[in-house]
Amino acid sequence: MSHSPATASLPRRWCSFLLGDACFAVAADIVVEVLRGRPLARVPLAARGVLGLIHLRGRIVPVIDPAVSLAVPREQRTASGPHLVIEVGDDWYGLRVDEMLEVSEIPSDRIERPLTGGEGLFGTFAAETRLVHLLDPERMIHSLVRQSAHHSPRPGGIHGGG
Amino acid sequence: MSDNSEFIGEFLVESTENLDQLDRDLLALEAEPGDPQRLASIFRTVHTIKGNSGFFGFSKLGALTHSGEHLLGRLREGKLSLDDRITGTLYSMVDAVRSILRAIEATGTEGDQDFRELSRQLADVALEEAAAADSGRASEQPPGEGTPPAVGSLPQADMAAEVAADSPLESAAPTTRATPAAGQTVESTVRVDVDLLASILDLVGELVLARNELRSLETDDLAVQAVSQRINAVTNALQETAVKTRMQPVEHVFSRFPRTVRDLAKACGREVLFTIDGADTELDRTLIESIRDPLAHLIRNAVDHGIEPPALRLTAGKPRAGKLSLRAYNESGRVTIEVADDGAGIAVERVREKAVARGLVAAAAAAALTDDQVLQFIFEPGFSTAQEVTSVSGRGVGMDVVRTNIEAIGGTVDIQSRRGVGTTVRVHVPLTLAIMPALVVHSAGQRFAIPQAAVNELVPVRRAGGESRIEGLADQPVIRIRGRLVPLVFLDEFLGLRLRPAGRDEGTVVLVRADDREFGIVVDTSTRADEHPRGCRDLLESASLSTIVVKPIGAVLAGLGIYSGATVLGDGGVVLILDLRGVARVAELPPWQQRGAPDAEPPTGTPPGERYLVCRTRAGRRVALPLAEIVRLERFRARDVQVAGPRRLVRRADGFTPLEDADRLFDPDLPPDGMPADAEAVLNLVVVRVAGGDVGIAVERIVDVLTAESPLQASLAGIGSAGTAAIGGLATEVIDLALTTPHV
Repeated sequence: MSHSPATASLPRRWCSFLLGDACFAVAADIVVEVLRGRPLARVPLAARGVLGLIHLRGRIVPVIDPAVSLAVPREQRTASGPHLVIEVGDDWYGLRVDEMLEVSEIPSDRIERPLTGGEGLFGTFAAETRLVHLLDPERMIHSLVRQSAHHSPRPGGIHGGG
Repeated sequence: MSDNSEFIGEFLVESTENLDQLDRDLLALEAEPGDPQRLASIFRTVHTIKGNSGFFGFSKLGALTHSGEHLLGRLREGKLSLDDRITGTLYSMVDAVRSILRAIEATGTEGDQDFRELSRQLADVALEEAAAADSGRASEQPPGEGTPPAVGSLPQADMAAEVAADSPLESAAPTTRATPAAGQTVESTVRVDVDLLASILDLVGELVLARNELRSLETDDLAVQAVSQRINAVTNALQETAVKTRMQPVEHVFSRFPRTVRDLAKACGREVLFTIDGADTELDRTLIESIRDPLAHLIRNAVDHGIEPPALRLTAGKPRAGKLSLRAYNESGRVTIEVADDGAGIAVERVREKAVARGLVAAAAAAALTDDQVLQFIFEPGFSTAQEVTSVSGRGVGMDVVRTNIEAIGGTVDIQSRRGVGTTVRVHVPLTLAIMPALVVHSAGQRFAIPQAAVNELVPVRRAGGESRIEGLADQPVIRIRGRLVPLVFLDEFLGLRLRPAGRDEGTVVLVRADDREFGIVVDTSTRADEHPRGCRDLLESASLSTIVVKPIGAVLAGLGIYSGATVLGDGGVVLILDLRGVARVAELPPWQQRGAPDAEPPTGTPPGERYLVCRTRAGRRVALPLAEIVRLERFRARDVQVAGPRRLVRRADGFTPLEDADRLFDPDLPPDGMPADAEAVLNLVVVRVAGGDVGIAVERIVDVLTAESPLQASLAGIGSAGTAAIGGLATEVIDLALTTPHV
C-alpha cells in the first residue's frame, strides 16, 4: 500500500456520473436512489447551488447543484437531468447531475490525490478512458452549510444578482 | 468492557431514577423526620446503588454510597436523629453520586473527582452523634478511605447490623420494585426506544399524506368512497394516538424543582411552601426539555426576588413562609404552566420609568399604558429592576431568554403582578409541533404555509368600495386596521419572486403575530379553481386550511431563518413553511410597535405624539391642524378680505392667499359669504402649505398647540376631516388638508 492506512477503509464500489464534460463518482453505498422527472419545489432566497426540494419516501430532500462547489462551467451542463439522492450523515441530499454512468470497482491503491480544485474532492482515479473525480459529499455539504450560514437572504433579490 | 455497556446503560438509567426518588424521599423526610418507611426506602436505594457499583467495579461510587449507607443505618437504628447537618450531608452525597453517574455516562469511567472528603464527612456525622449516644464505646474505624473497606474494618456490632440489613433487603428487593408507594395506582408501562417511536410517527405522517391524496381524488364509485371514508376515520384516530406516544407528563421536568426550591430558599434565607399541581399534564417530549430552563429561571426569580424574607413578610401581615405554586393544565389545545408567588410583586412604576429611560416608549405613551402592558417590558433584554443583583438570579438577563426560548417552541409568556400581593407568570406551550393546522397561501404561483396559530386575520387589500387599504408611511407600506397601523411585507417581493407593479394594491393581507408584534403579509388571493387542475372534492384541502405534517428541511436551508420546515400537501406538492419571526427580522420591519402594547403606540414615521394647533371655528367646532403643515398664523380684519370670482383672498407679504372658512371644509354647502358683517371683526387665519401653494384657513379662535395623546383614528374620518384624535383630553377632529386646494 502506497497510501495511509485510511485507504483500507475506502469504499471499493463507486457510482459515477457526468457533470458537463467531467466525470465524478460517489461511494456506491451512500446512494439512496436515482430520481428522474420529479418536480422540484424552489426555495426562494436560498444560496446559489440549492436548486430546490423534492419529496422522497416521507423526507424532504434538498437538491443541490454540485457543479457550483466543483466549479464545473455552466455552459457544459444539460438543461435538466436526474437527481442522485445520497445519504450524508442522517440526512438525504439530491445531486443534480447530467447523466448517470456505471457503478464500478476502484481499487483503493489506484486512487490518487485530487487533480482539480473545489471543496469536497478527495481523490482522482485514472480510468481507461477518462479521469474520475471522487467526491467526498460530507465535506461538500458541510461547506455548503457553512456558506449558507453566512449567506443572509436578501429580500427582493430579483433586483440584484441571481 | 464493551459488552458491559448495555448493562451500564441500564444501570445509569435506573440509578438516575433512583436518585430522583432519593431527592423526593429526603425532602419528605425533612418534613417528617420520624417516618420509618421513608428512611427505609432511602436506605434501600442507597444500598442498591452500592451493590450495583460493586458489580461494575465503580469504586468511588461504592465507597461513597457505603459511607452514606452507614449513616443511614445509624438513622434507621435510632442512634441518630435527623438534623440539618445530616440532611445537608446526605443531599451532598446525592449530588456527588449524580456527578459520578454523569462522568460514567460521558467517559465510561468515574472521572477524576475525589470524594474522600465527602465520605469522611458522612462518616464524621455518623460518628459524632453515635459517640454522644453510646458513650463508653471504643472509638470506631470510620469506613471508606476511597477504597471499598474490607469487611473486617468494621466493628463487630456494625457488621452484624449490616448483615441484618442485607438479608431482609434481598428478599424484599423483588417486591420493592413492583410495589409502588401506598396510595398510587400501579401503572402498566413499557420502555420503548425513542427511535422506534419516531419511526412510528413518521409512518403515521406518511399515512396522513396518502390519506390526503386519496381524499382529493374524485370518484363516483360508492364502494371506493366508503372505503375512503373509513381510511380517513382510522387515519385521524391513528394520528391522534401516535401523537400521544410522544407525550410525556411534565412531571419529568417538575420533579427536580422541589429540591431546587429548598436549596434556593436556604441560600436566600427565605421560607417557601412549594406546591405542584397537574404534574401529570402531558406535553410532547421534544418540548419538555425546552421548558426546563425557562421554568427553572422563573422559579429562581420567584424565590430570590419575589418572596420576601420572613421578617419582612411578618411586618407586612403575611405568613412567614411564602407560597410558591407550580401548576400545569390543559387549556384550549395548549398546555399552560403557571409559576405564582405571593411575594412582593413587581414595582410597575419602576418598570415604567425604566422603559422610558431606555427609550423603549415615549413618556406620554407610557403614561397611557395599563399596568399589565407595562409589565411586558420586563421581557426586554437586559431589563432588571431588582435593586441588587444577587448571585442567585443574576442580572436581568433571564426574562428575555425565557421568552425567546418559549417562543422558539411556538409558545408565549405573560406576566401579572400586584405590588405587595404577588406575581404570576404563565407559559403557554403548544401540545405538539409535529402536526399542526396551517394556512396555505399563494404568491407568484408558488405556495407557502403559515402556522394557523400565528394568523390573526385575513383582510382583502381592497375595501368593498374598491379603495386600497394600503398606505405609504415613511417608505414603509402599512395598512390601517381598527386604528392601528400595521407594517406590511409583500411576500412576492420579499422572496424575490416578482416585482409588484406600481399599484401594489392587489391580493390579501394575512395579519400575523410573531414575537408579540403584528405585521401583515400580502399574498395573492388564491383562486381555488385553477390551482388544483384535477378538481377537488375537499376545497379546504387545496385552498387554505390544511393540517400539515411538519418536516425538517435540513441544515443547508434552516440557516436562512425564514423557513421553519416544509410539508407535503395532498397533491404531492412540497410547500415551505414560513418562519414568521425570521421573516419579520429579515424584512427589517420597523420597530414601531411596542411589545405587548399594540393599542397605545403612536403612529409611526411621525414623532411620538403628533403636535397640533387646536382651534375653534366660527360655528363652534373644535378642530386641529397638524403643526408641521402650518406656515404662519395671521390676523386680518374682515375688511381686508378681497373677493375674486368665487374665491376670497387676502393680501399677504408674498402675494394673495386664498381663504377658506374652516366650517366650509366640513360642510361645503355653507354659503361662501358667511363672513362677519362687521368690517372691523378680526379673523384668525391659519396659513397652511398644501400642494400648489398656501391656503389660509379662517377660524374663530386659536386655542393652543397641543400634543395628541392618541393616534389618529381614521375610522372616524368624515368630510373635511382626516380622522379624530384625543388632543388636550378631548376628541378633536383633524382637518384633512388634502381637500384644501388653492384653486377650486
